[in-house]
Amino acid sequence: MNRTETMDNVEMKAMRATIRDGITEMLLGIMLLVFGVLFYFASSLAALGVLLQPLLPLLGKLLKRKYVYPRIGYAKVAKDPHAARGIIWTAIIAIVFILSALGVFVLTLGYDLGFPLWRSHCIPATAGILMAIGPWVVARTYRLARWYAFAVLSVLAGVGLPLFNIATGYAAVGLQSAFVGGLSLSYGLGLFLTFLRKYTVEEPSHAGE
Amino acid sequence: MPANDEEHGTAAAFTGIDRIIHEPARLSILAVLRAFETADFVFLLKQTELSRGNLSSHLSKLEAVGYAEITKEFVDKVPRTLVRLTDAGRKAVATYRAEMDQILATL
Repeated sequence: MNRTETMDNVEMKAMRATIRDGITEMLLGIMLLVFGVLFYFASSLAALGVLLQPLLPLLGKLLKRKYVYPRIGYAKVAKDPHAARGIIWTAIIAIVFILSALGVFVLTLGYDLGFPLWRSHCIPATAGILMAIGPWVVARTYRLARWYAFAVLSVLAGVGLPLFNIATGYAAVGLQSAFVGGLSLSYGLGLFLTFLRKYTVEEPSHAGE
Repeated sequence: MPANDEEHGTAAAFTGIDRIIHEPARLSILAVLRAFETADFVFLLKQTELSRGNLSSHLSKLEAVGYAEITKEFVDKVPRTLVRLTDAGRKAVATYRAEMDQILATL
């Protein structure tokens, strides 16, 4: 391995260190779980899940400050000017894909079967694809297998639940969200507890002392 | 180009390498800092696995040449040393990488 490759590895290892505490997984899990449960039992209340959005980053900051920074130190990841563009392009591709699927459906099966099939099967699949965008971007940035798994699981749950007649329509969207959220929360909790056991609180120190 | 000239050319290319960055400990500090807007002393300590004294001395050298900026602050009454790669430091690391890639390509 040459020096520039080593530099890239050191950089990537340092970046991964900032998310090995499992807090991101826990926050994603809480959001999806709450959204999923609300959507499953009362889809009209699902909008309440949006209220969680501003609260979760605050919870994340609190946990980082209390448990993470004293153990592995503080680091603020540099803003990648290409990251926002990547998310926007992924979202555009997903939307074009979904609209194309809708167009193909209308021109083919839609004539005979009407929209109940779209509502029961395609909405959960669409939600699965949209839910996969965030984890996919994180997985690509940090090259982490577990985030690829969350993205793939989102899509599989969206397609699989109606296909195997476990749930259809909005109920399937709620279930898939709760399923991926539950997994993410459990995994994040596991990582967080391992992190707390593995790292002890460091003495604060000044450079140049 | 005869083999001797080629070897001489590669050796000459190495003499142009930034010695401040080329040192392994400082290179690892810079590689970590490159990914972050700012990082504190404890984070660098954990990532580079250097001793406190060693890290402190290398950071002072990087600060002296203007590649890193060190600031000190208190968070909840606990002292924290923040380190940031300066624009000059970021540019120097990029130049170093390009030079190293070029040299390795000629080997």
